[in-house]
Amino acid sequence: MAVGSESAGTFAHNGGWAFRPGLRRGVLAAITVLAAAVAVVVLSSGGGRVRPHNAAASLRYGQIPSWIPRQKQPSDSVVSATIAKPVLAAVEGDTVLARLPVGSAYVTAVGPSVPNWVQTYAHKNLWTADSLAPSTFTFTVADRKGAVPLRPADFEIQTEEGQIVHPAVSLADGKALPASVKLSRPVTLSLRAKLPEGEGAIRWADGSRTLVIWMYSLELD
Amino acid sequence: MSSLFGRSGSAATIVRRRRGGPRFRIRSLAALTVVALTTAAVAADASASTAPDQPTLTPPSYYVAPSNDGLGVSPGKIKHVWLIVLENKAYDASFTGLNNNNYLWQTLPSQGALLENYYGTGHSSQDNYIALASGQAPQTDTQDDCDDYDALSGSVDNSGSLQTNPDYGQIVSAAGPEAQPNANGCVYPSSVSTIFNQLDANHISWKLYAQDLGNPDTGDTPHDAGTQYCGADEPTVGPTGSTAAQYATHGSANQTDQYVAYHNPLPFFASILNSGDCNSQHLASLFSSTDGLYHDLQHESTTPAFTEIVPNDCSDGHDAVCKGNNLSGGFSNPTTANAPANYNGGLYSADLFLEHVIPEIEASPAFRDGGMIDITFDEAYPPFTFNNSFVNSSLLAPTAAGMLQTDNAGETLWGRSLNWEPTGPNTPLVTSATGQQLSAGPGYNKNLDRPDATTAAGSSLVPCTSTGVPADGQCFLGGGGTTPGPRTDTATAAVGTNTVSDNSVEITDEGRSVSGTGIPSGAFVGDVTNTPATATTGALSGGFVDTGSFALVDANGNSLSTTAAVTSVTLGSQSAVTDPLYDAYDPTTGGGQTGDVVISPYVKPGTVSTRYYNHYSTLRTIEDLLEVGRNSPGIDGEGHLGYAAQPGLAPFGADVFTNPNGYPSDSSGYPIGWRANGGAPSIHGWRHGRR
Repeated sequence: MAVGSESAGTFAHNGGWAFRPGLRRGVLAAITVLAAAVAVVVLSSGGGRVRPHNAAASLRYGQIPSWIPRQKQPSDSVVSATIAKPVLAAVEGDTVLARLPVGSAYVTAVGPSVPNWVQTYAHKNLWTADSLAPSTFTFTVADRKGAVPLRPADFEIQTEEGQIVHPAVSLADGKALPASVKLSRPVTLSLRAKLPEGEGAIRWADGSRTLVIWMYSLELD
Repeated sequence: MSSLFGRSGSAATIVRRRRGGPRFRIRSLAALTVVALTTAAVAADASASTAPDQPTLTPPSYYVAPSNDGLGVSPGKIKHVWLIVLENKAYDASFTGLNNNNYLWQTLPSQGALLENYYGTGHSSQDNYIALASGQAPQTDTQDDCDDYDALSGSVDNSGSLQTNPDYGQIVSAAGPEAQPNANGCVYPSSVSTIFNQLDANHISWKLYAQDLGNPDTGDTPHDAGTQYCGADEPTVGPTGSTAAQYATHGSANQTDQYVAYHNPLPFFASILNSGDCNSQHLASLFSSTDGLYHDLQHESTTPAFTEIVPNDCSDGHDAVCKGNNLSGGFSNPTTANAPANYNGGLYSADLFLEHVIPEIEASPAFRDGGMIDITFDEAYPPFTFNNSFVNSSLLAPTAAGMLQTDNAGETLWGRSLNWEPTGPNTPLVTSATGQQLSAGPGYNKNLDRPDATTAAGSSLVPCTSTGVPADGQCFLGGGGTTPGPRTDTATAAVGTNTVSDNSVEITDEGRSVSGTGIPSGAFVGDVTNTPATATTGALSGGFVDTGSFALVDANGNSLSTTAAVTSVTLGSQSAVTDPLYDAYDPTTGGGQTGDVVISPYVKPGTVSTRYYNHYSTLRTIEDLLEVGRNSPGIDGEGHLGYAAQPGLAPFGADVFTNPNGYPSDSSGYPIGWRANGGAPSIHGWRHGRR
């Protein structure tokens, strides 16, 4: 609309048109109305229906809208687990701070990983539903304080069918788990078991008392 | 569970829901009058012939039709839609805090709406992507994630109308219902249209961004043949049923390429392959610096109206342990991921992905000017609660039936939220004369337990090898995995009772023989009840987080009583032969409860909707928002394809778009360098690794 009025005025100023003042105002008003109508028609038809909104044309990249609330919950908090308050976590979850009367440590569990040939078989439909996949979980203990026990018997896997499987537990390099582990550096364990496809849980306990349950999903597709 | 499948009938039948009633959009008083009369007539007829639990597809008398198809915001206000589909997580895994995936669980719902009762439409993955793009129902090969890239043979059922034919607009496979794997084919013929074709017809821009598209492959054949083939594994579509090596698909990630084609709908429709759309204007690698998401978001004029984002098999949560980068190392710049700090997958890696991509979108001019981000999962695979050992959600019923329900179907028809969805012609739900479920259905019914022919002989039970049962002849033993051997549980029961307390018992134990002191001969595990208990209760130390019990029954399901006090029980090994009590009445019919998050200026932050939606609802919503019906009428004349055109199907309504006037698209806000969760900006404004 503003452009239409400006153009008409400029054109008149150059002497191409001559109106009496009253008539000129009337003509200008008519032109203005006409231009506005044309603008409305142009804006409301054709040219691609989804197009930049005029009001947004000045928007620039880089601003999170002010109406989106800032998150109060930290997204990378560490969950604490105690005998009194064991944690139901996930393999893919954050680190768990295990607090025991005798010490504490940050623990994580990752897995299961399966050999590539298993997924190849599965993808070629050569893997039967009741086949068991050799699966490995990696269990890491770091920043230990005190005597946090690490015993093979403390690890247990429950399959989707409810079966209890005791994994073979060793150090990551395959060596047997020693009676005691030095505290100076992170310790990585491998938990190996043959598991059916599906969901399940790994339980880490202090003796018979659960500390953390991690859920896992073994998919072979 | 309140079954939607009747237990009575006169013969083996394919359960097809009656479809009747008028078009939903009412344009005039005359139409309203006709509708009212028609509705009354059809409803009366339907009430006489429809089982009580079955959804009524005619508008109930109390129903008042809303305007604009029930869409909760005026069409045209939403100008840009981003659809992000993650993989294989149930609602209780994703949105109840079980997994500490705080960004998806807490941050994103706090910015928009959490749709608690959102369901996938089938199992396994690919049929859900097909449904989102076209409204086509599952079929065996897409349920099987298409091992081969071959043509789907069949024709679209155009007989009758939406009101008279429940399969109207659905493709009918030439191989027939419940076909063998690899018999149907995977690439839908040109007669099947998609939302992308609809957008083309309306000259509305769209683009699919696939993470890792075009990446080199480590020790593996390439996962995509190039943009010109729309991201397909192979450059040519094989003949139907082909299992030749040149048509094999690649379903697994490798170290440098975690893209898998079956999560990308484009190459599975001839209507797209033949459209001329397989080019960089419509398909790009997500983090490409030249035509990727961040590049295109810089200006509203370069941002497509409809965007589908396909994360790789790590970022979508599919892989528990990622083969390659899970983004845990952060980004050097908006399009370059650093080396990972670890290889955790699942919801951990999905959170990392979302934390990077969502703020990028939210900081764009297009989002501020009428944007909508929709984040969901393809399917719930299966709910963590299914086997009861993991129950921890206060939102779920504690019974075994409740567990099954989370792996169900759901949508809203005529204003009623239902645990139901149409099956389509290729995966019908077939029942026996006694209402026993015989077929896999859209839910693939992996958890349906049934006997073999030996056990069923001489009884009313239907074995898995009967006519109408999935042609592969496999019995579905609860959970679809291994068959457990004998197990002895600690259990308690007084003398003379028919309920045994057993904290180890699970729903899949139903039908196993029971023996032990106090257990009468010929006893079996009947209905199982599990009660969830929070894992933070100290009293539960040393055990799993539920308590359980089961009913003691005989082989015919009649109640039995203990003959003495019980202190332990031994459950017999479970197999099709020894399981006379298989439950064939409660199949899992859909893709399971996944949940969904919608973020938009037209949604009040913190909105929670309990209305039932599914992928068909999403497709209908997108079609309505972008008004594709103007030049692409769909199968209902209103712009809806496939089962998105179900009469009475609700798109996202006022329960989702709770701010119909929208927030102003002003330029205020906080810079993207500041994380929406309040974290400090890092170097270059892009977050570095944190774990």
